[in-house]
Amino acid sequence: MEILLKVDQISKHFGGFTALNGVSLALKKGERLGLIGPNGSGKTTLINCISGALLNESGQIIFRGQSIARMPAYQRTRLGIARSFQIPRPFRSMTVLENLLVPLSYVGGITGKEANQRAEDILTGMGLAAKMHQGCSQLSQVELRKMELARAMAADPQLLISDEAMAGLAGTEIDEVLAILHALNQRGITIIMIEHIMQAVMSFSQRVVCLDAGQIICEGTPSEVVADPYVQRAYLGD
Amino acid sequence: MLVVVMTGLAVLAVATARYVQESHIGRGLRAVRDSEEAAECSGVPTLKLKLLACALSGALLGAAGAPLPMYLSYIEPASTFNLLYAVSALAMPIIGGMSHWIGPVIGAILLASLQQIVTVTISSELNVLVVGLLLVVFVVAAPEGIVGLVKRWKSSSK
Repeated sequence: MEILLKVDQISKHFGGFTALNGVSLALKKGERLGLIGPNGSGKTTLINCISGALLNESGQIIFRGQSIARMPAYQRTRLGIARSFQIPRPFRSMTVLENLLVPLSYVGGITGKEANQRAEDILTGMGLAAKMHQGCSQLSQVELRKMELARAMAADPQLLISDEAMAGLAGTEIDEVLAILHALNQRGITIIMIEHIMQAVMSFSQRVVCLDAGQIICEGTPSEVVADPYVQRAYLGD
Repeated sequence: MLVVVMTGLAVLAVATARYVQESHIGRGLRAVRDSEEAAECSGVPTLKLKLLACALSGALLGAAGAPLPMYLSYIEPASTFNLLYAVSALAMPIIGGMSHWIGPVIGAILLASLQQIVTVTISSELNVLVVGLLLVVFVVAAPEGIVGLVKRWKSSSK
């Protein structure tokens, strides 16, 4: 299988704090990867480095055969990396539909009627059709999460990074978001899922990577990772 | 002649504002204002857009200053760099409303005529007070400006 993303020995410090310490990762096209780890272990920093919100200090990031480590975030989005945020960041002055028009025009160069149609299609697929002309302040938590995924999809990505898209959601809502992510994966989109809800990560991922203190401590199938003594220690303590 | 130049500049400024608002640049700028990180991750080149916004507004304000010596018929630092120009330039869009290009136009017409009226009928010192008071009232009572008030009134009467 073709390698879509290769992260090679990247490091990131915040002052004296080492957030990432030589993390390497390879992702195949169409794969579903789960990223777990205790709070502060560097999960979000890692995907911030991949998406371009932060610049890594050393190491390489290769996406679709191109080195992207020094590329600004918007160019990475245009290359095919989209993400949702841990704390939803909607464009609050716009309606749900208009939120999607931003990536449609800036990534795909699609405007006017065609853009509206595309946005409507994506929102319908996410089950947000009824809300598309409302402002983002009127959305519930689960709808905001879906809107973030929809906006990420409007950028027509090859790699979707979902940063705790299920945090704070109830049981059935988690299933809804999981179903959406599965459907996107079916269409060939590679997905990195960061999640604290174990049951969701374990059922969704084909492969799980566990970070602790900025290093990968374990990598394998969900059942292997759960059984790993290092992972158990990182989560539960000695 | 001076009137023609000033009117021309005003038309150019409003036309630019209108063009920016309706083009995809305007959508990008709104995205940047709402969330810079999310904008960047939606493919918006935030740095470029911010530079463009800065350059455009700087250029227009600079151009607006060019006819000033002709208008005053003399030029000296204290009046040229009068704080009131900067305050008015902020007050006009805040009073008119910043969500639509017509906002600053309304704000400018309203504020400038009010200042002239106060200068002529009461005193020339007092017109500074008018700017200050209006600014405070709008920031507290109608942060979206007149455009925001009209929008709210329209949506509530629907």
